[in-house]
Amino acid sequence: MLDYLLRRIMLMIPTLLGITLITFAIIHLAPGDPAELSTGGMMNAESSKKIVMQMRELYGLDKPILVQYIDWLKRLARFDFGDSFAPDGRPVAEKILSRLPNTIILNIASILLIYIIAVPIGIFSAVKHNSTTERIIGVFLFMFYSAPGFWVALMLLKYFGVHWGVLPLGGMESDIYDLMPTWTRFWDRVHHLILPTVCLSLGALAGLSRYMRGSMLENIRQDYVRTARAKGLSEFKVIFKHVLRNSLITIVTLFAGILPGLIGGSVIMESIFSWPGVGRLFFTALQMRDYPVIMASTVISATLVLVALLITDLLYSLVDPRIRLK
Amino acid sequence: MAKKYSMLDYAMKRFFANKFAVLGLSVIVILILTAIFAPIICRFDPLEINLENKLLAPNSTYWFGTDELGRDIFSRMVYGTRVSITIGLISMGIASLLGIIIGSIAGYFGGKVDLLIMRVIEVVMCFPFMFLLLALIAYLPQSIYTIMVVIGLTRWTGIARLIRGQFIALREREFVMAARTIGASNLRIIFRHILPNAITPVLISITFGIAGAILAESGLSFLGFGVPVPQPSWGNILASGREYIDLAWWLMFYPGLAIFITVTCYNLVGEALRDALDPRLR
Repeated sequence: MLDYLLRRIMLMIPTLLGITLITFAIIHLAPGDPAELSTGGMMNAESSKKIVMQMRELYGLDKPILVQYIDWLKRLARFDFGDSFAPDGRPVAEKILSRLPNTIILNIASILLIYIIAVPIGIFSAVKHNSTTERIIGVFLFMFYSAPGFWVALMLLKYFGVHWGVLPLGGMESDIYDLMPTWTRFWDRVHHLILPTVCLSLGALAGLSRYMRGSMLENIRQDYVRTARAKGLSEFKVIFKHVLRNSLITIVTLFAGILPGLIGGSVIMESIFSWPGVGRLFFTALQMRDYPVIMASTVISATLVLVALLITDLLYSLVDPRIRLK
Repeated sequence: MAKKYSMLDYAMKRFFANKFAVLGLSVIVILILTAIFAPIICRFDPLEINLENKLLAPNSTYWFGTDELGRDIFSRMVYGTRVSITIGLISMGIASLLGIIIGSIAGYFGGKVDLLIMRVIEVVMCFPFMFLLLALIAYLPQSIYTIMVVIGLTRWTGIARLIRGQFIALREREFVMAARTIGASNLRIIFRHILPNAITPVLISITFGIAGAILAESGLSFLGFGVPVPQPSWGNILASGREYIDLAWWLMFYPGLAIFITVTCYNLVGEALRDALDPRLR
């Protein structure tokens, strides 16, 4: 297992380099001098001059392009992403690090919600294949899949937040959070987490349910299921012990597939619900043309996905030992 | 003489027997016509500001109400159709062109070329879509063309992988060998012989891709990084409704519904295509 883990990590290195290469290419994609461009006539002459200087220094724009890339890589390796262009001027690494846990909480909550709902729906749809209830569920899933998440989010916010006032409008905690006892604090957090989590989950939820259904249906047709039935096992045991276990293998691997969508989706959801995560930081950075933050969040979000891919592969090799041999 | 039915005839028959597919396709045709004839359909100028009539609820004059500047939402939505429809088609056009060319090269030549291309695809797929899209947009001038190109540039990977898989399955087949024997060039084999046999799964993927591209554009416009104002797009009308969330439901409701319906219809057509072209996948 350790051997497999090492091999997988070694394989990550070229991909990681590729991620930095693409991000670097994006910086240099802009026609002309990125330092000049970054000011875009949005600020007064003095501060724009300062930013041009900062950019020049940060990216070493007067040096040859290869040297620039290697210098940038060296600084990345030390987690030095430069200082933010925002008025606070804090180091980018510090800014992102302080927001990262919030994004991870939101994403883990969404993944849990997706699996908790999608797996039973998938099982149900496969067991009751071709029934009316299954069709109705199918139609709803299809609608979830096609609905624009931000629209659903705004509609839910309008009713649950504004009109009925049962859920908070945004943020991560109430104003009086610091005065609350521990137990209330926990509920306050959960309360704030509900709407963003639900909205972030909708699209992937529908997709995963369909995969789960497909995977169950495929397994139900297998010979080992016939054997299990033939030796007189109850239908409950056949489904939950035999079919479900094998179907879950496919579903575990889909984790890596839904994560990029979730992390990307958190840009929209975090800015709708004022959730103080990396997505919202990225969004405000875009509005202010805070290039160091934009670049750093892009590299970090892609690296997160890469790490998730690794975890998925490890999980997969745990549930299906044949993989390790390849 | 009895007519000979081709695979395509059967596929068409299966496709049109599906009520949902016909419904989806009809709505898409209506949307395309709306986009083309926008100036005839609209009774108001979508850009005309009329502060006396601001934030009117839907009524017999302003069917979908007016916005905070008194502009007619119905006219703005009709023009917004142009944005959504063209972005969906053109950005997926770019993505399919890239995906088909890159995927064919990887699948046909194999070996080191394939390894390299697959690595690149793997890297691109690591980037969360929204992050890559927005990071690119941050460095480029904001316009509808930028959006098309950028969505195209980030969406080709799935198609490339599909095409590659098809090419690997087909390149050792007899008809390819036959073409090679009579001295057909690589280009000819790729485009004349293999590609037509590899294209069907890609059509399905493109249809879903258009739905995804429309969602992406509306998301970008919603965040304020899409179609520049004052040009109307469904996404930016919806975004303006955010500030009047408790006052003017119509600002949010209609554009969202339009996106929802359009995306649903493309997805319906995609599903039906899948069922019609490859019945095994049912």
